[in-house]
Amino acid sequence: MSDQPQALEGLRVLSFGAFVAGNTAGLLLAELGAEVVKIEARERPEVLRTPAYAIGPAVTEPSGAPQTVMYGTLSRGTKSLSIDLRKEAARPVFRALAREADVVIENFAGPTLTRWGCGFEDLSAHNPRLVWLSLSGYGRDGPWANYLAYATNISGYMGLTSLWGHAHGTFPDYVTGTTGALAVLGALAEVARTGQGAYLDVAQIDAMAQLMTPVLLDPLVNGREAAGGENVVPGSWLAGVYPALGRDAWVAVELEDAEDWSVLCRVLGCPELEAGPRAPTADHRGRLDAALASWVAERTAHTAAHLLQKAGLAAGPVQEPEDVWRDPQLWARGFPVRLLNPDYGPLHYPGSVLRLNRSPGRIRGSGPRLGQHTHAILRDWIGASEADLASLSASGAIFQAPGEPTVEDEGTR
Amino acid sequence: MTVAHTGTDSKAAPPRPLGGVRVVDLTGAIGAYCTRILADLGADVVKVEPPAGDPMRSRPPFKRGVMGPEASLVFAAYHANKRGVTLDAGVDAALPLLSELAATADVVVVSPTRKAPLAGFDWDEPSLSWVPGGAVVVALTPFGLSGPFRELRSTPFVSFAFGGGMHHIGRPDGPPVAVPGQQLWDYAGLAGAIGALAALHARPRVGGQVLDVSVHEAATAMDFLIERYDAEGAGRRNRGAGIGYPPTGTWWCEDGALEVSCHQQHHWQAFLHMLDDPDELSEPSLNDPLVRREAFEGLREVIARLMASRKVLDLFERGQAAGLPCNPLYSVAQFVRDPQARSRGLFVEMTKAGLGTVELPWKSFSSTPRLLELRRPAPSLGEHNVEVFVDELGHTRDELERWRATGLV
Repeated sequence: MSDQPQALEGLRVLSFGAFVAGNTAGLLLAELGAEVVKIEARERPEVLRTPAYAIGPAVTEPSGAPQTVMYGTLSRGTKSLSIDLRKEAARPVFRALAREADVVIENFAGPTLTRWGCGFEDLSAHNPRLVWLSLSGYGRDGPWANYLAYATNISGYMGLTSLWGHAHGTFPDYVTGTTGALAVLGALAEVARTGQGAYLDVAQIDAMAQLMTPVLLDPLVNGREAAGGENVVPGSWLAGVYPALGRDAWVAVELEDAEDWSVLCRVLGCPELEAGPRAPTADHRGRLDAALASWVAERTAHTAAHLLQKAGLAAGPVQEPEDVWRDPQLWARGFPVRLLNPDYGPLHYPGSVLRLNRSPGRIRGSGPRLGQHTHAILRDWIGASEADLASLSASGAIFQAPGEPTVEDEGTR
Repeated sequence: MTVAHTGTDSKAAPPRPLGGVRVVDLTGAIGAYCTRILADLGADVVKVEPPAGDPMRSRPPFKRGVMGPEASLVFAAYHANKRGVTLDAGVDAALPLLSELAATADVVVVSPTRKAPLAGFDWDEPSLSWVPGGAVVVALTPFGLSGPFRELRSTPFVSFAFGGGMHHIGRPDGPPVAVPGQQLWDYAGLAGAIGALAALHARPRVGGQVLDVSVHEAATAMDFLIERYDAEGAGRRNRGAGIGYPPTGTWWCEDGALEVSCHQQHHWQAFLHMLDDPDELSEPSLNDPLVRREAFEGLREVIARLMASRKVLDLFERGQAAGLPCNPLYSVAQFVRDPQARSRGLFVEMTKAGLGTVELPWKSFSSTPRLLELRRPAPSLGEHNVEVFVDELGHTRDELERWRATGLV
């Protein structure tokens, strides 16, 4: 499979992207074939490498750098360049790399790179085609420019937590990183047309406001609060989550229209609950809801969902991680990919969602060791000599992990 | 960073990255955000609706006092920047027109389902004979075009349950709870748009191709579900359990609530600075998050008392200045009025026939130069039938009338 072309072959990305959002943007570009170089200083490895974020045991790379599954999965398919921009000697090296790059990704808390003479204006002066992706919580402008936020803060600020009764833990991060990758591809289309790069300011509040569209509309237009309530779906005929046989097992069911309602009445053997073409009253809905609840309670979640689907209805088990792991649909499509990480061993990761049939998204390996590709990238991108590498290493400006880079493509779909 | 590049959209006439790109959208709700973004980037998106109207036209909320096919605010928001035609794309009689539409297209976006079939689509041989080989086909479906679940029916509500994101959400004594809206479908739509842009980028080298996006895969790729289970044989989270170390969470102040994230070592110091370094919390061992967790029941009362007499926005500004990720806890209505959301230009006024002037969420990001452009409101039902079928595809008005009479358009 690895002889298939990739959509973004030849594209070079330098990424300071950290945490879920920053890594997700680079990960998507890497899946599509871009050479994504993740930058970390040896003294300041990405926070996700630290034991607080460990899934399974926290491990250590031969260089002593910490490594975790969370880091390995969020940086899968990327390369690692260890350069420390706090050191004066490192900055001209980075600026030289940026002249060869198509994209820079960062989600620093503030204008850190500008202070080092490595901001967008410094770099685009020498590379006008450069696309700069800046990811942040509240945005890079406005009264709260550069204010700090995790996904839960965004969920709370935007009203989702109040409305839903819960906070999104990481979802806004995935949405923001993915919107960032989209913005990069949009900007690259403009670069192809005009040769002009772009500064992309992608805030979590921007990206999430789009996905929250349905709940923003009443407050925006009608001046009233969004309609809330647990498992209420505005406009649907019935929506609910019903307890099934077994402990903490549930089935989600939604009826979209009169036809669905009638089908469910037949499945449940309740002709007296038929409704006709008009949406049912709350009382009528309550009776079908109760009948469905009794029916589900006598079956396992998977069986109940299966029978409702057989009848043509939208229904599914509320899957927990074990269900997801055993999910036949995921395995039939070869979605989980097994990759060998030299430090914590083989593990299954999600594959690429970007299933293009002639240039498929691919996961080219688990996350790199810190500094694994430093020398190779400096040689390849800017022709660094052995003497350059030695002096930069001696000053602590760069760090090369011991040993040769491991082969790419250890696991592919 | 100077003001010029802090993300304020430049005022100059926007470029159109996808100028000249034609997209034919044959999906329903599942593809609405995907094609909206392509339209925002400058593509000419033709949305094909059933003659009775896209089901989203009857989805609430509506503008107060407005009825009919143009009243849905959801439709108005998700279909801005698109043109619209009607065609019953599920019947074989539609094949000639589908084929003509596809011949003009660079990208065709589809979502065949049992409930809303697509003419010329066969689940056993998932291809579309009426799409020319040079075009990019984006299939956005709940489970993908292959596999045992490929034809299962779903909604955003059911997809959220299936995808593993719902089980740990809810009160400890209640059912799992779905997130409002169609967030997971829109998230998969983003992947569809990314794949379409990547395929267009590669088209000179690779030619046309098919992108098969599964909402279910997009959902299960998040939150380390697969990796964590493989690594630990676990990963089940209890409903209602919080994440992070104390004092992460919600604290009530005099005039509202402040939410605090205390995930890193320095956040605790920032939290103390926000509260003027109170003596009650000065014990150095509290720097250790594990110690704080142990001691938290006793600390909770102290912190609650220190916060209760303060103003939310005052603490918020002090906390942010000290480096503490925090936010005022807002309702949706408070958020849409907030100066930060306003200054980002997240909402824009649109005037649409049959609806009037309304303010809708629109802009997905800011940039210099500005890459996203709002050119037109969502189409009225069949608004561009004449423009597309007669002016562009060369049919006569009589033909169009005949198709109308038979219910084809």
